[in-house]
Amino acid sequence: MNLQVMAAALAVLALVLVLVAARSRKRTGIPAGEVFYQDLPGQPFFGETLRSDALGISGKPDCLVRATDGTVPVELKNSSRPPARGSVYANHMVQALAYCALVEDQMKVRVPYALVIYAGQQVRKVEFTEERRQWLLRTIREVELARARLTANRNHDHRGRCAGCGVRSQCDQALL
Amino acid sequence: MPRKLISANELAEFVYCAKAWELKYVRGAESSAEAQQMQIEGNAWRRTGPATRAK
Repeated sequence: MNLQVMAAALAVLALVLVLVAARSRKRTGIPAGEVFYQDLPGQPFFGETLRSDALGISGKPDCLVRATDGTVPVELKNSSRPPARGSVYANHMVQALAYCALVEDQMKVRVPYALVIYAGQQVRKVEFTEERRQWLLRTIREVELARARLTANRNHDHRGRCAGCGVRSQCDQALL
Repeated sequence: MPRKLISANELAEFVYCAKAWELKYVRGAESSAEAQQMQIEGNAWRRTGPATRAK
């Protein structure tokens, strides 16, 4: 096979791979863009923990995508039953919002939203709105106060949360 | 004295249940074996996860 044929074959292969990747991203809802940070040791772009002394928080998103409208944190969750109507669980939302705030504060870039991807590739978008930012800040403050008090009380009435809780057997406030 | 940063995971635990947060983060309670197994399976999903890995 001469060099020209090999080059043509490689070009066609590259085009096919690009199209497959684009189709996959479109299907899953992941924005087109460059993945430049991953929480996977040994992989390219393995990232350090993000920290913000101003916010009082730290964290490592599963990956960061540099999209056209800003930087998008992506978090993978193993739950195969995400909540209905395109929403995310509150605990997953606060985690995603924390990553948005961390990226914005540490990297000084625009963060329009985060993505939470549940098992089965169900992608949920978490818009980083001002209202949600305020909720995040209130939650950080609540944790700081609870740390100072060294105690906290159950803040929900969902039996399902207790059913799935790993420390239920040690809890005197469990609903089950 | 610098304040100890709160991890995003810890925030999520607190929102899920503040009492469970206290048991884990203040009292040092260990999760049940079943919960730990679910965590292992979850980590496997994160490693093999959806098409977020390609550049």
